[in-house]
Amino acid sequence: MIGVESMSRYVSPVNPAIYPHLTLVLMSIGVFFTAWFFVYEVTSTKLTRDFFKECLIALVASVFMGFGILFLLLWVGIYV
Amino acid sequence: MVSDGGWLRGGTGITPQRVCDIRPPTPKMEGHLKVLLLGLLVVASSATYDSINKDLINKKFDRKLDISSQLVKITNKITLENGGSGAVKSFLLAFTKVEKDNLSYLNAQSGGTVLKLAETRVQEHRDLAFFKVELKDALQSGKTVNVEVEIILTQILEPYPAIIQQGEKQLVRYSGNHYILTPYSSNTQTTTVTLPSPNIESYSRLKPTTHTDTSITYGPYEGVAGFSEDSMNVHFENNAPFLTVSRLERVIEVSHWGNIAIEETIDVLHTGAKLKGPFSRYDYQREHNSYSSIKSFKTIMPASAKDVYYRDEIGNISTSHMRVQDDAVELDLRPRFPLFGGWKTHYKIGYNVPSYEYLYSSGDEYILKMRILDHVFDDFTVDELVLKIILPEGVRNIILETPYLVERLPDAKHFTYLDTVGRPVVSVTKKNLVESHIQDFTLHYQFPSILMLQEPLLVVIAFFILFITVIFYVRLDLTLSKDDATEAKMRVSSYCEQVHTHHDKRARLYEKLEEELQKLKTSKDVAQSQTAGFRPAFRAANRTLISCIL
Repeated sequence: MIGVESMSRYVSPVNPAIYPHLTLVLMSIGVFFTAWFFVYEVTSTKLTRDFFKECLIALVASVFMGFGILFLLLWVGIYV
Repeated sequence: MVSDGGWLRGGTGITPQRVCDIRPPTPKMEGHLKVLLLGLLVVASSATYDSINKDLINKKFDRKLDISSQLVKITNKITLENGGSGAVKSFLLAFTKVEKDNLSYLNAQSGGTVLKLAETRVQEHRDLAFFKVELKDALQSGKTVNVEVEIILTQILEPYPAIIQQGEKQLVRYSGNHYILTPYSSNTQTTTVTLPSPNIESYSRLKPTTHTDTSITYGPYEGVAGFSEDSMNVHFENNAPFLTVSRLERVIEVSHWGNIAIEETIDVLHTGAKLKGPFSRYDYQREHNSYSSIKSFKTIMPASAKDVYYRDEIGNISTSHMRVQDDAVELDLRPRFPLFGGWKTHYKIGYNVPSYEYLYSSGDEYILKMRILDHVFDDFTVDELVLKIILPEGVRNIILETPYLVERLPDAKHFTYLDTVGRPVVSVTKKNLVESHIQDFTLHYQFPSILMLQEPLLVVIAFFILFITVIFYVRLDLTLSKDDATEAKMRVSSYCEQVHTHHDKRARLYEKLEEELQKLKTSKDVAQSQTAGFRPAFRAANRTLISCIL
């Protein structure tokens, strides 16, 4: 077993100081893609819909929203 | 919310000391209970008895009895002489049953080294409790050794009278022994009693006894035989806070996103003389004569503590002040009501500290090094401590090391935000603790850092499922009859859209073509422009547009 002496102090992989900025950037991109997704869903008809386009927008939106929400939780003090 | 006070200097520095536990191993010690004992080897077994070595003599025995707070702090300075012919490796410390039951902390030192202690028994003195102290080096015949023993007893001072009115001073009684209880005969014994104030009701005398201001000196007594007893009574005024933490639950939640959250749930009971009759708020505010009641107390937290809160069941307690100092954060807490004898209160204190202060790592190996309990108020005593350490999800191979013996409770699971299988919780408990027990535990564990991605991925998947549901939902066609008119309208709009996109595309191609022509005009390189692969695209676009319209 390794002792404390040979270990280094643990710091978060992401600096907690940039949580607010990360939240804002990721969330705004996420919200943009989410909005695009829903606008696309309601304006397109069954004849014009493109499944791959929908999936691609959904994927991008969910990735940005997911990480954005995580950093939002960390920013407000819910250390998950 | 804790308001930020001024920047005040000074305060109580807590120096963690090494401690020796006085508890014998419990039968609950199981395989998974891995507790390291520093400076202590408990070898108590009920079958063996120790005998008293008649060769040992206390050449000089100085006892300092500090009864100025709610605790009884005893410092013994012993000069031990080996009067026999053989070498001696250990000696015994004796305690009465009452002392043993209220013994919180015991530590023996010789020349800066902590000596090993073990509880033992003596056949001839079954009514007494004994501790065997292992000397660092064997004491040769005719040689002497200096040993310093530190003892802290709790709940020994008895309020007398036990019930007082608001505005009355609190008197307490200490009953002990004029002679120092020791198995060996002593050449000289001296006891110095330190009192909180010069106001003494009465004190027992055994010549020579001297009383000066806030101290009473008994002795020196010459040639005292072993186990000599002579009852000592000191009845004195003590308005020091008699506050006992009846239960302290300390929860440490580790997050690998860079934070350690600490929350302490504290039940406090005033164990001084009980309040007789009604409590008058008017008298309390007007006349400052509530001697034994407690208006506020001070809690010291680590210097890196932030986001501090102080609340109870009904919410935030606004009467608190926080002072940030260089080496600590001092919190001045004022309960919702003053505490009189027999009254109790319950509150929570929480704060965050950055992980780099207490968490160490090397690859997937982690070590958490934190205090088992922290300062609650000066000269505090904790009846029962429960420490819970909540680790991130997916932690494996947990090994806990404590500086003194604690009882490990079964591991549990804790569920909070973005959890799936639950976070492992390590809990330990210990009874009767004082300030000297503020020491670090070490918790080893393994955690694959890739598991940190689990939490964001959970949210990502949740969002993706939502979008997929929407995609599925818009494709649902629940109409019973086909509406030709809407269908036709839809088709028309779809064609219109297609034409529109193709038109846009064509317009862009025309623009490009124009550019190409301009270029051609200047360079006159016909061959190159023909191979540019631009024309086929142009033709294809034209074809789709035409087919669309048709």
